[in-house]
Amino acid sequence: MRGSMTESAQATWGDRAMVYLAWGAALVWVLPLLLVLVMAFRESATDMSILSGWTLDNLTRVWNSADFELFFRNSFILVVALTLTQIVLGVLAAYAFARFRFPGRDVLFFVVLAQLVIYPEIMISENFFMVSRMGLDDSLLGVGLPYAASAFAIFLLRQAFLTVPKELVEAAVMEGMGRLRVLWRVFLPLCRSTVAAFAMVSVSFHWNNFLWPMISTRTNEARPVTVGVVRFMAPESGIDFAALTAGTFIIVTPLLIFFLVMQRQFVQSFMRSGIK
Amino acid sequence: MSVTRESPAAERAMARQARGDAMFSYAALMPAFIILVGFTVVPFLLSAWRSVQDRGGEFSTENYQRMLDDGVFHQVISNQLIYTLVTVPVTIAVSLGLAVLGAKVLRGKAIARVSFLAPAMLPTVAAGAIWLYFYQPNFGMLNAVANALGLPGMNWLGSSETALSAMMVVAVWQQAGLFVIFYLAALLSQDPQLREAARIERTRPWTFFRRVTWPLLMPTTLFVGVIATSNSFKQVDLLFVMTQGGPSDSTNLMLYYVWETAFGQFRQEYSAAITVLLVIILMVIAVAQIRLLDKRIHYR
Repeated sequence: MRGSMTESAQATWGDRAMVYLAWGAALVWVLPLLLVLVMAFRESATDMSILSGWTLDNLTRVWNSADFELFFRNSFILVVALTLTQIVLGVLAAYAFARFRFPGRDVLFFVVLAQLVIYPEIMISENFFMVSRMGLDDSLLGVGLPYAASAFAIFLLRQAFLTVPKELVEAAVMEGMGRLRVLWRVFLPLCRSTVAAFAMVSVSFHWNNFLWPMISTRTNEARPVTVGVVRFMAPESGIDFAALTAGTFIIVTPLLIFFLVMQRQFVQSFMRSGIK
Repeated sequence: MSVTRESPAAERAMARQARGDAMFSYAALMPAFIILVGFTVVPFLLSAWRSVQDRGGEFSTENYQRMLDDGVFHQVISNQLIYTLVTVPVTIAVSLGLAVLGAKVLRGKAIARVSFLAPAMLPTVAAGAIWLYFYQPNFGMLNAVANALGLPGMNWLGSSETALSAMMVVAVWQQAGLFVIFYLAALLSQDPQLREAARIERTRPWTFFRRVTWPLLMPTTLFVGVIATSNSFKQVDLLFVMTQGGPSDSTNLMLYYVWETAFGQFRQEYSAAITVLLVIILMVIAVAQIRLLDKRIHYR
């Protein structure tokens, strides 16, 4: 009895130490972000008093010096449209890979695997020329098109679809369901959390994407927030830190709110989707 | 009963079924493949074609020869090697460590997870901006702490000795959070009976980790490794905000150099040659990793 008591006490002691360490690490991880968000409301970076020196000037100055409403609208459209098309195209392709045998399947799947590491932005020049030739440069369609399909989506969804029990599929076929109905009624409901997990990765990827949107746009018309805000972060003439923190605040807040609201959903989807 | 031999009619029906499956599959793959091939395979072939031409459009290997003499390019390759070989293992170690710690948190676990994940949700340009602020030599947080401890301050990003390391810290800080969630998912789906058995057998925690947890996490580790490696080769956002590749090219990485030669110096042919090299490197890594994945995961 006594032996087991001390043993469990020891275990909890070690666990408690790890919990403290975990909170320490969590603080280190989140602190830089919180500090910058606070500094966006400070008049001076060196003034450390808590009672005075608060201001909205940094934010209003940055907000008014560029067309942020347009940038936000562009980002929003890009994120929603790309997440949807990536899921639709990804589901269709993953379904074909997971359920059917057809000539060339392995070669085609290898192409998908290779694209897990080779993204459109690596071929920036040729993609820029291609989009220009199509007359889509400096347009939202041009910014989005290279990302309309995602190898990552196909890979993840295929993995999930492979776990669908064959008996269920056979039963559905016996009932006379066609191929698309089986996808809709059997595969998708069972793999909902993978779709949700991918959707959230996709949202944050496209909200944050920078290099390609910067290259493929010349005017503000099609620029997302990342590209619109970056000139406040790395201007040619020295760094304006008040503008930098305010710019960071503007770009970070919407996604952070989205994420805080979806946090539970997000973590649970990952847990359930078996990305492991 | 003709169980062993199908009747000709049944055989025909099965062949029709197989043909239908194939047609459906091609149709389902078509839209995704048009995009994937159109914006990666085709541009790669175009890059390869452009890379073997000189400025006048004649066949030439001068772009590849130039790589041998280009000192900046050598610096870029060495930076890239350091960057990849450091950030990938460190990211894996840090995110696994954080996940093991995070799995112990029961009260307020949502807050802890959000804290870890928050940097990963940031745009990389914003993450770079945040740290630009901390690394700032005059009133930056890091030097303030150093001064308080009686250490001399540094111009972290302005000195070619520290700039690349300073940038790697930011990269690890930023990308670890997402991988923490992957590892947490794997850890929490671990069979609790394993842990119980280890407790009864009085296995040391470290032994348990090395013998049980680590092998079980191997698929996650490989997956994280693939993503972290490819992230390391497409890192440009941090450079745009923090260093522009400087000082004196000490933080210049491959994709940034591709951009610089194509859009800064308008040497499209040379840039195409570097792109081809970059893709070849990535393909080699991809094939190696797919082999490993095949061996370890058996994902059919």
